[in-house]
Amino acid sequence: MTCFGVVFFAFFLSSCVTDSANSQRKTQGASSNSPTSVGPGEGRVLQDNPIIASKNPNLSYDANLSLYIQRTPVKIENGQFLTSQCGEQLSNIGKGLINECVRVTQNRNATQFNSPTSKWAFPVTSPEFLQVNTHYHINKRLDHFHNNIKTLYNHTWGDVDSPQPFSSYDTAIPKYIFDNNGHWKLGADTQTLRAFSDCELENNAEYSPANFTICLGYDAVFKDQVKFAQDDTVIYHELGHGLIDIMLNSRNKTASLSEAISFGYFYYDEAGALGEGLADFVSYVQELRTVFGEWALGRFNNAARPMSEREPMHVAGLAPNEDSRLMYPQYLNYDPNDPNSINEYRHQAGQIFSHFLVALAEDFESTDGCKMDKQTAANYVMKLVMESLAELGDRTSRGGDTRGLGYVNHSADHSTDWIRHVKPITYRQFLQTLSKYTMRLMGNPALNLCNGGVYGQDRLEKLIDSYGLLLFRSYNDKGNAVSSLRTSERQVIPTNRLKSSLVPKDLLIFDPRENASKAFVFDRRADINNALKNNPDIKPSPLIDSELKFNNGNAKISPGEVVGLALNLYNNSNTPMAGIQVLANDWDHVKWEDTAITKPYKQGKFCNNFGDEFPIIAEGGADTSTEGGATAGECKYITRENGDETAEQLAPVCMVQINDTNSTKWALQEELRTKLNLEADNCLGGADSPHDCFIRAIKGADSAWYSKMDPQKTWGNTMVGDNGGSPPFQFHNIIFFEVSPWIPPGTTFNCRFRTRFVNCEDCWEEKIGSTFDDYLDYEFSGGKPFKIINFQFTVID
Amino acid sequence: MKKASLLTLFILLVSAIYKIHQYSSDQHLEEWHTYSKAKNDNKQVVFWDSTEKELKQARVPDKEDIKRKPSSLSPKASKVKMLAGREITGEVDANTKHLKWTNSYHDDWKEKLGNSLLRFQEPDAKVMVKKNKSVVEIKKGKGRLMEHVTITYLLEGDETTSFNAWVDSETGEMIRTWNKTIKEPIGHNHERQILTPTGTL
Repeated sequence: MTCFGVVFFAFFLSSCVTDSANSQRKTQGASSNSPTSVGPGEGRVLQDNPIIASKNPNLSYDANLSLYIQRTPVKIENGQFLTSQCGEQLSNIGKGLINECVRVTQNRNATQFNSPTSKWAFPVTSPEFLQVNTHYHINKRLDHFHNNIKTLYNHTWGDVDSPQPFSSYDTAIPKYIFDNNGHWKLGADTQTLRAFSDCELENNAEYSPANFTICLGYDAVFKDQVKFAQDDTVIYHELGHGLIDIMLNSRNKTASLSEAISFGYFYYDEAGALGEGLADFVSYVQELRTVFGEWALGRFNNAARPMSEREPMHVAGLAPNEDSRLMYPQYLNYDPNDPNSINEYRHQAGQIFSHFLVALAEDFESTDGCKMDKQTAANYVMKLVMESLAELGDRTSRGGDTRGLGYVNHSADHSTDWIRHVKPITYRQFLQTLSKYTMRLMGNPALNLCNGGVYGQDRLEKLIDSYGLLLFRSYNDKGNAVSSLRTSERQVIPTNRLKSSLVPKDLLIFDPRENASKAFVFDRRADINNALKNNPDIKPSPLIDSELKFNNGNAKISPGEVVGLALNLYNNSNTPMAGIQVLANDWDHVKWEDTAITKPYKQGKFCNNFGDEFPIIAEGGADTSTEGGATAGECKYITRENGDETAEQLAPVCMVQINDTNSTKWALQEELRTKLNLEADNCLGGADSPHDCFIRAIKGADSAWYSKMDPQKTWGNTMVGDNGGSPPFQFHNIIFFEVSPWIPPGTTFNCRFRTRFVNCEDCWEEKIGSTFDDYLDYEFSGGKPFKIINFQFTVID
Repeated sequence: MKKASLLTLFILLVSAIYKIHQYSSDQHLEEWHTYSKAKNDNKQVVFWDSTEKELKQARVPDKEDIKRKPSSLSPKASKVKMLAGREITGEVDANTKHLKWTNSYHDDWKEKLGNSLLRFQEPDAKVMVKKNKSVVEIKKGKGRLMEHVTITYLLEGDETTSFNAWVDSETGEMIRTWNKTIKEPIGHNHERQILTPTGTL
């Protein structure tokens, strides 16, 4: 009886203490949270950020946060330092396990603190607590992440030591992902993720893929009290960038490549927006809550972000039903904290993606869907994302071990250019790829992942369409290689496209209104200097003066200048255009005529078969009348190797007007150089680059992005809205050209830009017979997928 | 005959030294170097071993990290192929016997890179560079010597930005960049720069 009483008494006591992460969190008064109050390997953390833990949305910056830490200790680390393993040993020879994969310190220079007793309970205001909190949440997420990879691998390859392809499922996950640590970071020196829990960053946090570090800063006003590391959703978001980096490069790491792919290359592009939305979603997968950043971002800076239309911080009219979703592209510039503002910022543009991913997870949960529990559903969406990232980031161009070269991203030699700007990851492409894997996994009866049923194509497409994202007409299962089978692709059900609008590319034009200009010019010395300073990976030619002394700010294009140009394009349709791109990189638009002359000095004439019919033959254009389309070097033949074939060469966008005795013609810049007797070494790119001798788009600044254009408006009109004023041009909106000091004033150039947009009807796919298929990747070296825009200007003194 | 043998030996020795120099690389990890114009009256770029303060601001892995054992032991033999001490990248299975070289190694590639990185920066700007490894890129029968580097700019207010780059081992020219730092600025603390057009055409 006495023993029974003791047991009963102990049970009675224990029921008063919170005991699991998912139980209601009750505070029991402030705790000193000292090491003596926990066992070895244990500590205490803020299981949620202080706003959630306190249930007080107006929690003060100087609130006693010790009231909100979880009373029941959690497992932290058995060793004496906050350094952990991750992954799991999946075979007898050690595959899968990563030693020392995370190290947490206060900041870069701080020594890792030592807990000799391995007890990790510290006052909540101490730097040690922040480190423990950071360590705990990072490892909690990494456990999920690696478990997802493991279960995905089990579906696909099975046994780690003797992987066999599963006949019913074609995966992008590499067969030898665990052999070469393809499930961890490519390219870092130590492969140890360094997390700094109290970094010297004001109002900021960051992930550095170059150094493999996470840096969690502090609030600019309440520097000592409000730290980003107190907010678990911020930790998950930053780590999310790292996990995206890892999965995007999993095939590259497995193939022992050294150069990684980035998810977004410009200050604004759709890949960057998708990355931000996905990083927010990582927080959802961990916490199953649909708001990110309530504490450090939301409470004091009005910058929290929702992930579901049901969140009250949204404007009225949004709801989680098929008619009221956060739609693309209408909500690309939307900030729920300031709905009247219009911002071209990837964090805002990524919200559509986070909302869609949450909605997909909720649909997997639903009784009509796959009847999954919340966590399982979120994990499966994450698995689909992992597959999509692994395929889309593949620099080997295979996209999967059972596929041939060129399935994705053109080729190993040109994959980086393809992903960066020739055929970048966009909302369209990611949703298409995600849909493909959804059908392969959740819609695959052989895998039986949908609780006895399958997740159907019709259901998926309706959900995607409710977000305005059903922008593709085939699932592109066969890939984009030259030899790809163009027919028998799974087709989107046409009647499912009710809200997603596709617009013909011909409706993207120069602003046709009276007195409208064709381009905005940026040539103020200070502005150009700032642009180059803030984008140090952009490098003008050595011929350009380092002081930019030729930049005269006269809004003209003058010899010796670096000039920014933003075409004044107009949406001539009744539907918003999104993800508008202007490309000024070299492309296949010249007929090379003398096969005896080798690169780079090939001679040729500009093609006129891209719909612009410019230049005509009498003005120096190529004669294509006898071309059959099968001979390399001709206009009707597009290079398969992005100009690497002997008979092919890409040409710069700008042609020059040359006045001969009897005629005026458009020609390659090399012809002008020869006519002027200018030494080849005096070309902008030196002797190896004669065809852009005088004017060229600077590599890295040779494409421009615009988030959205409203109907019957320019991008500028769209961005200023009803307020009017000057459009807020940023670096990614402008193409930067360098102008040789050797150009004779009065020389006229025509630059032939390729333009397109994401919700374009005929920029990404074409009809083959009665079905649709994506353009093969090589086509993007030419003009067919683009709207060609010609822009002429004269260089003045 | 003896003179001929000596001459032959001499020629062979010179060739060997030349080849070693051509492929020269420092495969062990180097230190960070900081480049700046500020410390030189002539505003020429100078460089020094990065200080602890600079390394802290840059938030780069510290020496203790670098000296630790690798974070995991890969159970499978590495697929990396080497040529004269440099990792081969690009067409890794290409025949290397008759490669045409598009460049050769120059010791001062790092100084040239530093000059280039500071070209449009403020006079007191600092940029840090660390070489990670040396490679040979093989494409269509041609070999190019390149360096894989990490570059970190030290900006105002403890801000930094880092990225990786391939650099030509002769000219110090940046060939491609990737892995730029992802920031989460909030409020008005955005990294964007608004530009105002000078005019229109």
